[in-house]
This record gives sequence, structure tokens and C-alpha cells, in this order.
Amino acid sequence: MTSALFLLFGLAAIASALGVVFMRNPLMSALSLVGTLCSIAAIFVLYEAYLIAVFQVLLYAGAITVLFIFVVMVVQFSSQELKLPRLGVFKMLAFFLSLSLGSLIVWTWWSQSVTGKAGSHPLNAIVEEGGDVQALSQYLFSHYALPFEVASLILLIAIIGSVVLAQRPKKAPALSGGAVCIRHGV
Amino acid sequence: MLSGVIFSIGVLGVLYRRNILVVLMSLELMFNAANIALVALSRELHSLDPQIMVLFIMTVAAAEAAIGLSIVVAIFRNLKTVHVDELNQMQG
Repeated sequence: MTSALFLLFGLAAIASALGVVFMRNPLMSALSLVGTLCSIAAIFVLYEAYLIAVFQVLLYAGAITVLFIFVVMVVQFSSQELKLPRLGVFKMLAFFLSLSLGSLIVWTWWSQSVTGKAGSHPLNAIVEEGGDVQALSQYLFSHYALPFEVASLILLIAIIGSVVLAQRPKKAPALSGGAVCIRHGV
Repeated sequence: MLSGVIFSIGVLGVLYRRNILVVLMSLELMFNAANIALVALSRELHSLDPQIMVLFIMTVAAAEAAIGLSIVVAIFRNLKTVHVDELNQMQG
């Protein structure tokens, strides 16, 4: 049952990831990105990483994709940009490179087994501790308190940076409302 | 396995498409492939450290998306294009 579901969602994720790359319209790419992220969230559930799955849906499929769709709406495309690139030498090289990289990764994953020091959180210990959320947050706020603070600093810098970048230049002619909306959107 | 396939699709997207928005989306695909690998590792090794790392990756990815998209908006405002091959001047 679990492996069948894993296969189903894995195939869905791969299909919609191919859709992201090969859709002609960037809006369709963004929508199939939503499909990929939701299938990946389902895979996280199958791995019993429930908190990560919730964050995947909220953060990626919610916030980031909405931001993408918003920018696709702001940016107008010429019809030339909507075409898929023609298959030249460099494009063939791109296909070849990514195919070889992918087969290398898959082959490594296939031929090696995972080794390493086993951690202290087998599944039954997590259940005893009060579930995924409690175990994860206790671990986060005890062992990883400093990285947590650094992450908040990164987010602050990102907010300031995007406000500065999206600011309208002083003497530039009037533009469509993109800059203002970006400031509110972030 | 799955993460390898999705990662290579992301690499293909970065190399193949010339629209900067689709390139950023492919970047998100690569982030997600790394996340799948880390969660699988966490399950395999009975450890919570990889899941914490996934949380931080998500934070950084959100920051990256915000900054990257505002750079895209700024580029589009100045040059009226989001086509990577046409962005070939260093000073506007």
C-alpha cells in the first residue's frame, strides 16, 4: 500500500516537474510547480515527516508559488519569449549533461546503501515523546537555537533587500503597480 | 532515487529554458529534491537532524525566492525583458 502510494506520488511529482520545464507559458509552469510541491508533500507524509509536509504545503505551495504567479502576472511577455528554445548544440548538451548527472545520482543511490551513525530518534521514540511536532520543536529549540536565530536574521535581511530592490527609482517615469504590490506582498 | 530524478529535471530546466522565471522555478525544484533526500535520510537513520536541516533549507529558499523575484521585477522594469540571453550588458 505504502509503496504503491509512493510510486503514484513520485510519478506525479516527476510528471509535473517535467511540466515545469516544458510548459510554454510560465503561468502553466508555476501551476505545475504547485502540483510537484503537493506531490512532494504527500511523499513527506509517507516518510512520516508530518511537520515538514505541512510546511511544504504552507510555505512552498502557498507562499512561494503565489509570489511566482504574481510576478508572472506583473511581467508581460512578448510572444517571442513564450516559445520554447530551439534545439541547438547547447540545448542538446544541456539534455546530455542533466541526463548523465541524473543517471549518476540514481546509480549511486541504487548501488550504495545508506551508512552513518544512527540517531537517537527512531519512530517509536518520536511517538513516545508526543509526536512529530513536539519532538522536532524540542530538538530545534534546544540543539539548534543559534541557527534558528540566524535564520530569522536571514529573513529580516531578505525583507529589507527585497523592499530596497523593488523600490521605484526616484526620477523614473511612472510604472505599473508592481513595485508597490511587491512591497506589500513580501 | 526520486530526488535524483527531480534534481536532474531541475538542472535541465536551468540549462534549457531562457526565461528567468522558469529558471528560478527549476531552482526551487532542485531545493525540493535535496529536501526529499534529506527526509529519506532522516527516516533511514532514525535521526531528526536532517528534518531540522530541511526546515532551514525552506527558510533560505523562501528568502531566495523573495529576493530573486524582486530582482526579476527590477530587471524587467529597466530592460523590459526577462530573457536571459538578452541580459548581456553590465551597466544600464
